[in-house]
Amino acid sequence: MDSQADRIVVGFSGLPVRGGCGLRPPIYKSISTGFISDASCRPRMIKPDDFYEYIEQGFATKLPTDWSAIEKGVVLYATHDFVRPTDGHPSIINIGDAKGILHADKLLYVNYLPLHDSITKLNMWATLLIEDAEIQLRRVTKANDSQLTRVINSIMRARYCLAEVNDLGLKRRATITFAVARDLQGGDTDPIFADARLDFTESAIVEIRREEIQLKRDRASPVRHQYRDCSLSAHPGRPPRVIEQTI
Amino acid sequence: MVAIPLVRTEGKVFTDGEPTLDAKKFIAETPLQVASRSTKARAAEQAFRLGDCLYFYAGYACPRFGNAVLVYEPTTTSPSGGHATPFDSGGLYLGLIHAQGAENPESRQNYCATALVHLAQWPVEADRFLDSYFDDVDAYVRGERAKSDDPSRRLQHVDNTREAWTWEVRFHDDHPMLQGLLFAVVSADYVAAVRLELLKPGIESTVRNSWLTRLRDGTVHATKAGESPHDDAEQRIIAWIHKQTA
Repeated sequence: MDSQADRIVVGFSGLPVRGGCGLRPPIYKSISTGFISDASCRPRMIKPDDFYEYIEQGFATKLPTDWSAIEKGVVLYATHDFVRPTDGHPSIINIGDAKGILHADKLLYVNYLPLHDSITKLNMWATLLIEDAEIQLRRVTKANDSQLTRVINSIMRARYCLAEVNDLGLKRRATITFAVARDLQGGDTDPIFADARLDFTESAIVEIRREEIQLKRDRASPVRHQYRDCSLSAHPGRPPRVIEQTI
Repeated sequence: MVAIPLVRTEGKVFTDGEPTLDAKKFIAETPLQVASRSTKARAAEQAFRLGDCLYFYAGYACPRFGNAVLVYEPTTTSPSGGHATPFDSGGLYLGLIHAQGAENPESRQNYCATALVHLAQWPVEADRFLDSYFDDVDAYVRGERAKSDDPSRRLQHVDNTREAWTWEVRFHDDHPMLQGLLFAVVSADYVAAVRLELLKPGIESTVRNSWLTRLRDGTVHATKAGESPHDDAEQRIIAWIHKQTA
């Protein structure tokens, strides 16, 4: 078997999920054997000629450039719809730190990082998206407000990040914001709480529902709502976050 | 008797450019389709007179066909029947599987015909095969080479890979996605997409609840960050077999 130094990363396993982001095992090309292997915990050899057929058929996604292999490295991807949502929504990804950008394809952002760094990055994206959703939610004044669409869009994107990040605090905030936004749209919030049972205990769900009701009450009461806004923005340890970044 | 689950990997992209089983099709319980096969598979079917087939591997989560791994009961069957061979028929047709008596297109046709086993018989034949050629079922599911050779020297041919000793099971009908499903293994981003689909307005609560139950009880399982669903599925297959034989 070849060593890590003999390998370069040429792709990742499978197709990106449309509108999402995620982590995938890399596909290596081995310099010593000339073979390409999907090396996660157990390497699988792929004949070089087959690799390009696999790309065509959607088993593998080819990266724009080859990268040197690192210990426990994974590929972090985000699709075009995730990176650049429509309706003037903010971008939370600094494209400048990508290792590769595929404009022509559905895939826009790809990076190859140690697993821990990838999860840290996803956590950061989720945090920014949820903060954006919470800020926009406070500005929503009517059911068809475009900000409401932005809130839901941000939460949906955050959920892709949270699929790989075990942060119950962020998941809790995402659930509450999502439920309040859907309620403002006149939609049913029960499915959101049914889904939340995959992440939380029953007692935690009761707490989350209580917070959701409280948030809705705060919104209905302009004075308290305003007070909450002021208290947040005036908090010395929590300066307003700049979410928009130039791509 | 050791029974090996059937495995179907989905998600491959065919001519329309869309994966065969995206999150939307997944929750719609889109049947596994005979039509979802390559032109090479169709050519092999014609040459070996196999008929139109829906393909499974016994115990092998092959990454070539996608990233959604569906694992079925070994006894899963098909109304119109089917066949099995202890090798990949497409690989044999293309000359990628080497064996004595399979040196040219004509002899390969005969080789395949001789090895054909009826669908109802395949678990018994596979059990004999494992007993004769492998140390244990774990080695087979891990894709390791057989401990001894078969009369045609296929199992230990140096140029052969696991497709030369993996059982291929073929149905002649589309198969309902959930019928006989033991479990599915998919990546975490795929699960996120499934959960978002289930939250869309218009999804019936019975549909949503049944999928949430499958996600909760591990029938649908998400891989850990950056890990391969194929390896994960094979480890679960080994664990499932051990549980059955304990």
